[in-house]
This record gives sequence, C-alpha cells and structure tokens, in this order.
Amino acid sequence: MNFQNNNGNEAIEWPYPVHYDRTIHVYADVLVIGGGLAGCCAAIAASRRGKKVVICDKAPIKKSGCGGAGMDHWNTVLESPTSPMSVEENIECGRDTGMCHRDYIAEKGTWDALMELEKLGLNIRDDLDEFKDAATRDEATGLLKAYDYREMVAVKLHGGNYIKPILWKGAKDAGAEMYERVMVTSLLTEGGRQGARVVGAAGFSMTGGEFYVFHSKSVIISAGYACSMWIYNMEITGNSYRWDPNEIGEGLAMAWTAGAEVYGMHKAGSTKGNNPFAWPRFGIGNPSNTWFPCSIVDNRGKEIPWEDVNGNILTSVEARNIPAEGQPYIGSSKSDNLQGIGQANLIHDLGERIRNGEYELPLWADLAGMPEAERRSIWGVMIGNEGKSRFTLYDLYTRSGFDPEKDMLMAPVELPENYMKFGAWFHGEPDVVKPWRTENGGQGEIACDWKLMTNLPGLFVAGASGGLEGCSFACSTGFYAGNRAAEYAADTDQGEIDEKQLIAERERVYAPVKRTGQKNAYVSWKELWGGTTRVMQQCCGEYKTVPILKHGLMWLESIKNTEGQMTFARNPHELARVLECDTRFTVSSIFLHACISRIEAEETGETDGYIFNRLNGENVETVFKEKKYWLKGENEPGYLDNYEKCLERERSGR
Amino acid sequence: MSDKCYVVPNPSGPTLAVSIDPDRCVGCNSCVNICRIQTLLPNPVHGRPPIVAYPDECWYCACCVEACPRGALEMHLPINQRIFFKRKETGEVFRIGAADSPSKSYFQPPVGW
Repeated sequence: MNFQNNNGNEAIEWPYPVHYDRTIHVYADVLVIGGGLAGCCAAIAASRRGKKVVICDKAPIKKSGCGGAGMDHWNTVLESPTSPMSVEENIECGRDTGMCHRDYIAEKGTWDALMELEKLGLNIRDDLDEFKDAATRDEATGLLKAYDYREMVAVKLHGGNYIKPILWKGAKDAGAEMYERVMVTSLLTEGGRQGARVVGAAGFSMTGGEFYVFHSKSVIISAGYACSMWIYNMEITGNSYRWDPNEIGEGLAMAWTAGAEVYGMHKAGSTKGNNPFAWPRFGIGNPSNTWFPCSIVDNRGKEIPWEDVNGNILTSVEARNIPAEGQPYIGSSKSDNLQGIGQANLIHDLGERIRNGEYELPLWADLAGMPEAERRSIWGVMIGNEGKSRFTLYDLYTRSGFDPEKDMLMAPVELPENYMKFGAWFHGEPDVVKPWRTENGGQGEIACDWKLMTNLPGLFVAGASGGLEGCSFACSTGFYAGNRAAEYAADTDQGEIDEKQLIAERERVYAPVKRTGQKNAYVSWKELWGGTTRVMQQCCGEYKTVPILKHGLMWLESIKNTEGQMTFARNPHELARVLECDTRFTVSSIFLHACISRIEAEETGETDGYIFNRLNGENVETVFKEKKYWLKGENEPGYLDNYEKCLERERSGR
Repeated sequence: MSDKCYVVPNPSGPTLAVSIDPDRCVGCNSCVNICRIQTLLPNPVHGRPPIVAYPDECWYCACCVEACPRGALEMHLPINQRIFFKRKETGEVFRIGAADSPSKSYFQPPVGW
C-alpha cells in the first residue's frame, strides 16, 4: 500500500502559500515565547490581569510542548492541606541548587496550580470511585496519591492526557492571542543594545515563511530545555525520546545573545533517550516512576525483593509506598531537592545476585501479579495518561494482545549492575551516551530573580527554561511569571524597536533561503546538526580541560563560518531546522564557556559561591554570587517575606 | 529569494512512524493541524490523505492518531523497540506487533476518561 505517497521520493509543492518578503507586526503587553504548560499558564494569568497577551509556538498549542503529549502525576504538592512538611522547611533542608528562591516559588504554587487546572476542567479526582478503598486513594479528597500512600505529596491524574487541550482552551477563553507554527528567532532590545530592556521579539512562520515582529512591554520565555546538543537524533529512536524535539534551546540562546545571565551551564547535561539503543520510555518492564511500585520477577518467575532507602527488606507490596523510618515523605528524586526522600527500590545487590546465578535474566514486570488497584493504576491512570504513552503504549500494546491481567512485560537485558540506575532501563545497552550526560543533574538555565525576571528588564522565565522541570513546576511558575510580567507591563510603555537590529535579524533568518540553489549550498540541516554534536562529544565529554573546551569553541566557530554558510532550506520547515542549528551553535558555546569558567574558578579557589555567565559583546563574563544571595541585602530575611512581597499587587487586584 | 517552495519527502525507512488508511481517511487534515513537527503535510490534492513528509523527525507523541475522527491513523514502533511480554499462567512469550501475538484485546481503561 502506498501509505506515504512518496515511494518515488518525488518533490511536491509546499502546501502553504509562501511570502518570505512579507512582514507582520504584532503588538502585545505580554509576549509568551513557547506555549507549553508553562506558557499557557503564564498567558492565562497575564490575560486575567487585563493584559493583551500573545503566545508563540513552533507547534499547535493545543498539544504542543512536552506536556502536550500527556502527563501522569503531579509532583511536590507541599501546600496541600495535609502536607507533611512546609515548603520553607523543604527548601531549607533541601539541596542548594544555586537558585533556591526559584525552587521555592515553584513548590509554593503547585497545589494552587492543580486546583486552578481542576477549575479549568481537568479531571484530577477519583470521582467515580474506581479506586475506592485502595491505598493510593486519599479518602478525604478523592485524589490518588503517587509514590507515597501515607502522605500526599504527589498526585496521580486521571485526566493528565488532556492537560494541554484544557490549558489551551483556558488561555483562549482568557483572551490570549495565539501565533502557532511561528518560530521566534531572537529577542529585540531597546536601542538594539545587549543587556538592555527587552521590547519584543522577531520570528517567522513555519508555514507561510512571513517575518514576524512582536512588539511587547514584557516577554516570558517558556521554551523548555536545550536538548539534543550531543546526539544527532537518529532515525530509529522511535518512541524513546522524552523531550519534545522542538525543545532545542531557542529560549536560552536568544536570552544569552540579548545579554541575560545563565546559571549552572557547566553541568552540561544533555537529555536522555534520543539514541538508537533506547527503548520506548515507560514501554518496557521496570519498577520506577510511572511503573512504581511494580513487582519484578526473574526469568524463572522468582520475585526480586524490594528494600527501603535504609536497606531494610520490604515484605509486602503495600510497604513500598510507605515512608521508611526517618523519611518525612517519599518524593520524586527528579524534581525534589530534599535528601533522603528516595523511593524504595529492588535490592541493592541485584547485579551481583544475577551474576552469581540467583536470578536469571531477562527480568519481567509482573503486572498480572500486582494487586488489582495497583495494576489498574499503573496500566491505566499512569500509562494511560503519561506523555506519549496513551496511544503508542497503552493502545498499541493492548491491540497487540498484551493483557495486564494475564501478562508480564519484559525488561531490556542490561549489564546487571545497571538495573540499579533509574533510567538505564530505558536507555538500553550499550550505554554509549553516558559520558555526555549528568544523571538527573539538569543542564543549567536562564537565571532569574524573585520575580522570575532575568537581569534584562522585562524578560521573565518559566518552566524548564528557568530550570523548573516537570508539569507541576511548569504550571506553578507559569502562573507566577504571567502575573509578574503583567505587573511589569502595567508600569511601562511600549518600547521602541531598533530598526537596525531588525534588519540584521531578517538578513540572518532568510540567508539559508537566499543561498538555496547556489552551487556551494549543498549542506543539509541534518549534516550540520550531526557536525555540531561531534564537537560536543569530543570537547564537552566526561574529561574536560580548558584547552579541549577552547578547541571546541574554535571548532564550532569554524563550522558556523564554513558549512553553516552552505546550508540550504527548500521550504519554511527546512528553514526552521537550519535556524535550529544556528541555535545549537550558540547553546553549545554556552556549555563550553561555562565549563571553562568553572575550571578557572576552581583553579583560583573561587568555588564558595555560584558562577553565572553572560555575554558582553564578544566576551563571555563570569559573574560570582555569594552563598544564598537570594536572601541577602534587599531580600532579607526569609523566603516567605519575599514571596509575599511579590504577591502583594496580585492579591490587592491592582 | 523565491517564494516557490518544494517538499522532498523522506523515504519511508527506516521508520514508518505513522500510516494512514486511505480507505478511512477523508482528507480533513485534523492530524496535519495537530502535528508538532510538520511530519504530516496536507495533500496537494484536496480530500486525499495527508503526506507523511518527515517521518524521520517524528516524536511518536501520537497526537495525530488521537485527532483523527475516523481512526485512520496508526503509529508503528520501529522493530528495534518492540519488546516481549509473557503470559504468566502458560509461560507463552509474544512480541509486540508480531504476527503470532494473541487476538487483539482492549484492556478496560479506568472510567472517568
């Protein structure tokens, strides 16, 4: 069957009318770049404050962003009425992330954000009593607890697959204007100056090719992470890649170019999956995250024991969801910074016991053997809602005959020791990309103050662009940033856009189109991407030295000035992909520069604070900040005081 | 700078990603309009199934499958991602998508969806 109508690879005309020479001006009070969970929440909040809000997204906003493919549970609701710990305590005892004020803001808003989502129409409770009397259910609220069944700190969401359509509708109803398939390529600053107030942004349409100029009093970057800097996305990655491929760091790159400070980029962590050895995320047998706490049996049917974080063997399935002695609650190691809140896991010496023959590979996730409520929770509430699993796993597997009441799902064969590493289950063997990643270490982000505003006046961040990963943090910081950006816009005039800056950006954006057809324009965006990943693999790997990192910068520059000037774009889609490579040059250089700053700081002994970086002309500056700077000077004395101060206007309705 | 643009669809291998049943598709482009990647583009012939133009860039989010009012779209995991499952009682082993897997069944989803 001619499924794809392209058997001959024949060229067809681009299906949308194209007007590369047309410029469209759009005026807004608040411009939101990236319409994912954070962006939609920001748009809702700012619109409700009476502001004219414009959201741009490379994709259709109804399902765009990482959360657009669904979500299964909502992390860190420490503001819930029965919370075991206050956000203040949680942050004070937690890990020093270098921007704890930002983590505080995120944690402070997760419960309210969840309640807001319910008002907008998200199904969050077990209203129909499917899980009545099950340990996962909180009887008082009808919410389903995740991980921890004693305390409610994370919530399973019945309707998580529909979170994006609900937020999309919410933003539309609130009056936000949407520009879909518009790729924002740069920020515009007052006088075109680096480090000056942000007055808008430029971009182009991925369907019609038109040039867009957004004039705005304030701008929010909610464009997700900077992904795929180390690995070219091979064509057989299938369903393994967790992050939306549209997340390639445009927000970070444009903020950097405009002069915004970035933090923690020396962590240089790429993201996981996205390699040809990986498995469908959540689509293989495993005991963690979405599949927690699924029993695992060996190939002979012998169950692998579980142990709690203190190393005590757990004798029942129920015990896996109860905090161990001394644990305040069981959290998610991914988004919570508190130490000692890890989940129970398979016995720690499983690798050894496999090697000595006690357990035989492969392992199998014994859904059939789980108590009914747990089975329906995993292969239902969780897999039925989690990102990219409703159709490509839940539907596809059941249509292939997989029956959770009768069957066990295989776990990939790994080096036995790897079963102790969360994520290794998904990444597959050989774990080739390991030296290029930090395990759950994050990757660095755009820095911000107590208002989630960057050092550039009028520029705000929300969600993963500000290092706030996960659905609950994206939404809570989205609402917060939307409010702060609306307040900023209320106090300011529409800034003047610099004509020269606009002309230069237009020149840059359309260069690949102009050169298409010329004899030396034979480099595809894929080759260019693959080329930049080689630089990062070689020069930003596990072993880093200043000469190697500097070599990487030189290498990037060389590719940018040679092959980067030979890349063709035959239509607006390809143009977007070429410009993403331009973004990769910038993002990769930030990683390399930040690593150099870090090594140099270690050499001079300046490691007792935090290192930020920013671009000043051609030079990269290193900015040192003292420990806990977010509670010093005008920000004394405590977290709550600062938070309350920022919320004053919102509460008084001004 | 010409406004005349062309699409050169990528060949169907190594990953098909998504197939469209031409007997069910009415060319409404619901799938095209939700695709975050532009993997799917409208067919130049009105009413005909969309072109799977860039399957190699697909994220497998399956929003297109969800959006189709006629159930004409199907996602396909690449062969290297089709794992096994084992029937606990009998010990029989099957592979996702294999010709000999048990008859298709739908596990009852939790209500409330």
